[in-house]
Amino acid sequence: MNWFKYASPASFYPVAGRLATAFAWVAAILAAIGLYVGFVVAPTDFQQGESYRIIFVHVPAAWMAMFVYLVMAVWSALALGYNTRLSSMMAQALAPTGALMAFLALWSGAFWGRPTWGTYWAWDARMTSTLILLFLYLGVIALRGAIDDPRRADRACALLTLVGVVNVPVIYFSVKWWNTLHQGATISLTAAPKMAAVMLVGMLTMTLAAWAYCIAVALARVRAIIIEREQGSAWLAAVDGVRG
Amino acid sequence: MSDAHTFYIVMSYAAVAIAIVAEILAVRARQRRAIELARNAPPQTIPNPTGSA
Repeated sequence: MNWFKYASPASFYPVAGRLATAFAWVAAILAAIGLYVGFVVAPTDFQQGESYRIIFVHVPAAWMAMFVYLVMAVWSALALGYNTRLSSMMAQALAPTGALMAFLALWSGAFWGRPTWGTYWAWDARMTSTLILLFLYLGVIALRGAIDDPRRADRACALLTLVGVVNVPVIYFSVKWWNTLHQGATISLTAAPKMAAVMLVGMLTMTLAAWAYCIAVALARVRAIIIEREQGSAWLAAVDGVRG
Repeated sequence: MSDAHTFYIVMSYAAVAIAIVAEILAVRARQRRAIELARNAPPQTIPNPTGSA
């Protein structure tokens, strides 16, 4: 299979449409299963009561906020290294979804923190570094909006994204490096999970749903970006839906 | 589910639901707008760098 073929917006556009639909269905099905496990199957937590159920949206949103930024950084590096238009378009398409995930992580965290810690917000290392992540996403979006020439905007945004990627390990390790309010990692690749199996299943199912959702919405957005940036090209004029 | 906790759970999940619906609608609107612009866009002309015929 010639993967380089899909570096061309003309080749990628129809594939992105098919993949976006497939991932949207996967996200919907997994979210339904995850919510059923989270609200019906999983029992009440003996310490936190019902409020722990916020974990089923908080953790997936927080993980996706970090992961989407890393993926954005990879596309940005490819854009700078190989000067491929589609890489910049993918990075551009991911930024709003990443910002949304960072916002939802902060929002749901605040509404989990209030009944658990007694406060909506604290200048804790994990929370503050996640807020910086949200500002980085908004900065990348604003920078693109501020530069008229798309190719210059691509390069500037790629550079900002790559500089900001240093924040992701800071978020991840913040609960180890600093002894602050946010709890340590519940899930680790090197240790057994510190939560009940049924809760873990619900949380991981919701994480996969969030993952599929991010892929679906980013692919749908990149199709819009391709149309915006390829206007007037012969291949686009021949595409069903664009052709009048 | 206790009333106090219900508020925090509803506020979290409602925000997620609103955000997802808003994002999907925004992407669909952007696609429609881009298609509309593309339909009215003049065809690209490839410049002739050498100036030859």
